Amino acid sequence: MKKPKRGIIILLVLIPIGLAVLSLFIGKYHASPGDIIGMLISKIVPSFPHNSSPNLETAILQVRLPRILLALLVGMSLAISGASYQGLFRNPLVSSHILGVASGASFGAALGIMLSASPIIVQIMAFIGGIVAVGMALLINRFNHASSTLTLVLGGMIIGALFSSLVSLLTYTADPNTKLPAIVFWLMGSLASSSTKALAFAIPPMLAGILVLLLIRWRINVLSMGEEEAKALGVNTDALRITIVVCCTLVTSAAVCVSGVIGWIGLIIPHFGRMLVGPDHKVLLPACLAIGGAYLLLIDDVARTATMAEIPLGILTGIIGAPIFAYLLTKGTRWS
Amino acid sequence: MVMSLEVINASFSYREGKNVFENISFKTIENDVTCILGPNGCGKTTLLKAVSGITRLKQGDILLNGKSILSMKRGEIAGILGYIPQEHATGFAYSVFEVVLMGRAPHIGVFSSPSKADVDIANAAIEMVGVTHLRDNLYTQISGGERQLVLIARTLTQQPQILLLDEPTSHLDFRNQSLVLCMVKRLAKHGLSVIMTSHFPNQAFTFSGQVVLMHNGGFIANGTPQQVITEQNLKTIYGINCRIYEVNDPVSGEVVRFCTAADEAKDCQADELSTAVSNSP
Repeated sequence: MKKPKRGIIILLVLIPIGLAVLSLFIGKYHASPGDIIGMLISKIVPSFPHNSSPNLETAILQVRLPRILLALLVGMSLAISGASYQGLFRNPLVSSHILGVASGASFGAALGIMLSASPIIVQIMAFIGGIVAVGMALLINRFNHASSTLTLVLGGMIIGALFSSLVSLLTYTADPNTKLPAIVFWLMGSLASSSTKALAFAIPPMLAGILVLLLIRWRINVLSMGEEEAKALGVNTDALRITIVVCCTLVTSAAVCVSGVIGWIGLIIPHFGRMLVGPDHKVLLPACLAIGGAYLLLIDDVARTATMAEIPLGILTGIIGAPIFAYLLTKGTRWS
Repeated sequence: MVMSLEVINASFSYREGKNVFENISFKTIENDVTCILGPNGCGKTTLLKAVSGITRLKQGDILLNGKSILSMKRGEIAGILGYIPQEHATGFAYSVFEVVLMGRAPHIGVFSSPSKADVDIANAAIEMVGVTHLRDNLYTQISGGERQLVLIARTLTQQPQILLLDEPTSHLDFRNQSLVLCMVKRLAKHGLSVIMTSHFPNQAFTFSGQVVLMHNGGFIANGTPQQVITEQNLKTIYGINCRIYEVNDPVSGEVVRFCTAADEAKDCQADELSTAVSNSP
């Protein structure tokens, strides 16, 4: 394959940024673009004349902006961890949730809702739930004598299934008038509850994980050639594998705990990325950041503006994603 | 400086009580090919993996210029030893160039990506092996022989001093076998010590300076091809009668040796064949 075209790379940089700026101007709170721009400039240059109200400021800076940033970050996190896992497991069918992180986080959140905890506590419990689930999968793998990436995946599936059952148990016993809708809505994924607080909690683990994954991204190429070959090429495979798992767990857990379970992105975006820029993780991971972020932002814009009520993201990623990616699947020549 | 590799009393087992190989000792020779010759299942691949440090020996030691590889880090070993496995599953559709560039891994920091200098080294290796025309092809879409040459290029990109090849010709046709082995021999003459495994006696005759004969996890002979590959030894390791022929090469005038199964082998009983098949893993 030739080097990815410069045009594609420029587009991958511009689209998420452009979409983020555009998203500031759409939403339920009606404000003219002029007012919004005036308000934004006045934040930087206080003397700039503007006619904004405190309401407008709150709507844009306290509600819309954090939500846009979260949508970008959650999309980026899910896409980069999905791509990293596909490289690590040498399998294009795994997603960012392969080691049970989503089920663990769902259980944590559902438990928090059952206990009538505050939103931020529910979020923290979901984060911890995700990490505990992956920790258990790693533990199972550790006690296996012939531990390999395959046993790691199987361990993840076992833990994922366990936590799914526990979530079902909680859903089954939840009060159908108060708790049940909250749990179900959480499970379907939404950024409606995003706030600066949620942002402050989720950003550090996401950025840390993304940064480390970006730093080691070229090595993921070597690892994806198989464990023995990677060893022969001088890679400390055990250390690299655990680094990838820890980073992916951090970013996915942080993403899931603010957004609920959002499928698709961690599975499909890496394929889309490979179609655009090829399988070299050095280019693929940054590309997945751009595509994942832009895609979820787009979906979330639809979710918060299409109808009077919020539409859960888990519904839209599938309904909007399926036709788009089905079309690409029929067109793509280098579809992984 | 030429690196020496010495294997001392090496033994290995996957489970207690059954050694895949035991008490193996040998030393590479400078600027030449050492061929480990033996039938399927005698432990060649496992031995080579242990020599490359991928699997750990149960007993014994492997010394690189007198230093034990057990005390060396993976990256350090990979800077000296290049290893080309026999089984090789292709994963993602990387380009040939991307695959070759991976050979730089031991020389690049964990948090870094290849630099311009690394790219140049990879390109030089691609050119040296003669696969420049394949540079931008997908690695998953080239032939087995081309793939073996690409893997050699990747190993050269690693800039090792010792090359380990596990049956480098096992899936190749006659032309590609010759191409790959000539390349290996040329690399040895250029200063690499090479260890390769093979189950074809004729390859050892033609391409190697030293042959070690392996049988049931142990060495039964070690020396020049002429000393080691005898009708008696071949009978011992392969269990069939063989004949060795010597002819004078009409061009160079040198004596060329080769062997084939003797006529009696063709009459061998069907049950002997089935034992031979069931003995191989």
